[in-house]
Amino acid sequence: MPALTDFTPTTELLTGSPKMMYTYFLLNQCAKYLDAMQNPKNINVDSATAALLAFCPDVPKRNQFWDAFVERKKDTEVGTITASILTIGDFQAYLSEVLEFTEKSAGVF
Amino acid sequence: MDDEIKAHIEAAGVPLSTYTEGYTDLGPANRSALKRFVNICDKIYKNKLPLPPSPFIEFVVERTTGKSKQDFTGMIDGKKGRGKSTTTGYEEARYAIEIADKWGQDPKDYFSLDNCALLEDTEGIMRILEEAEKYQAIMLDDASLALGSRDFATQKNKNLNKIMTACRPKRWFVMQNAPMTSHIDLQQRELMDFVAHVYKSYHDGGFNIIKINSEEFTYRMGKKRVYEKRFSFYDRKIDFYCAYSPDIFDPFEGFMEKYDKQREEATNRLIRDISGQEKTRSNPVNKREKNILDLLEKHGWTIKKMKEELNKKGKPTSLYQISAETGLTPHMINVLYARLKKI
Repeated sequence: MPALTDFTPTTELLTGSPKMMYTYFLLNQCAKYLDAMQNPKNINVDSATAALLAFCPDVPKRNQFWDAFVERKKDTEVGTITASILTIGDFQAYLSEVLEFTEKSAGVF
Repeated sequence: MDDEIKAHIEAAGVPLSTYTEGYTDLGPANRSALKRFVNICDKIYKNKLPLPPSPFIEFVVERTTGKSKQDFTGMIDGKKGRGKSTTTGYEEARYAIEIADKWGQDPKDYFSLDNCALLEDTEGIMRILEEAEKYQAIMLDDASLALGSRDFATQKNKNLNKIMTACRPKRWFVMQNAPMTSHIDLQQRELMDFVAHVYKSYHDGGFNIIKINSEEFTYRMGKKRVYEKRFSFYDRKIDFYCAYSPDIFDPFEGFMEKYDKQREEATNRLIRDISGQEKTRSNPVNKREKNILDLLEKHGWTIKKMKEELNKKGKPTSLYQISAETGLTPHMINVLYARLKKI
């Protein structure tokens, strides 16, 4: 897996809001993570998953995701790589809600 | 909610969550969201379903009757004929029903046509405010007439601004209408808690879609900032509000008909007043002229009579005698006599 520390944000994004910066950073890491998962031969999947989950801003939620990963891993039919991808998928769904990637509409009377 | 009503709602194709959760989930915020909401509003109206709860009105009632001793004022804008008055009537009628439910009273105790200032000038609005009891819903229709931004420094605007600034202990729910919020005096706008806009009118469908935002003004570091935010209820930011006619509520049946009639009378009165003012403006009577006319009315007959009597006796006109009788200066007596000769 490529080093997770080679993140160099562009000048324009450095002036963005913290939410924007965080989103950019995380999506960057996710792209690298997906690259790594496509060629997982020399990768320590546990560490890669933990490294990505480490950026979850909510500590109890982070532990919850990690526990889910460990649980899934036990299922031999699923396997470590799939368990990792599914867990990161859950993490993204959670972030999507928290960061309001998909804004929902509502009406009242 | 009993099973029969539940079945009726489901048969009409209205999601039950609209009633149980207090808001209608419209899915992703895209153009179709409005269409989805309109469909639901339309189904509720056409199938005569019970109205879903209104978290906005519950919030207003909580605020005016709560411990924090707040009132709630706002304005609604929209072009002529878009349904500003109907929308205001609906919100205020719903408020009256909610607050009456809370205290077990008649909704008409809190909102009626007497609480509506229809095309009133400042004096008319002040009369309504003077008579309004606590916790009332008050509608200032076409508020730009009494609180126009072009009259911003006049004494009447200043006086009304003073009342609206200090009226918090009255705990009113005041809604003002204007075609554009900028038509209303700036100080008045800065006192608003919310601004609403008639987003879409569905006159045929019997409802309007409104957008309501909370409004806050701050003045910091020499700059004025305006913050407009959507209201959030049940952890959801609300994009659209549906407003039917107040006639939909039993206690306010026929309200809009009576309102329209009064409004027409108010329009005629306004046109008559303004055309009268315009005539005076185009044919002004200045102060000096007015004074002469007043004096002529008061002393004209005395001056004429004394002059005629002196002439009969063959004596010259004595200005001093007339002056002693009327209290006018000899010059003024001459001016008035010259006028009298022309008549």
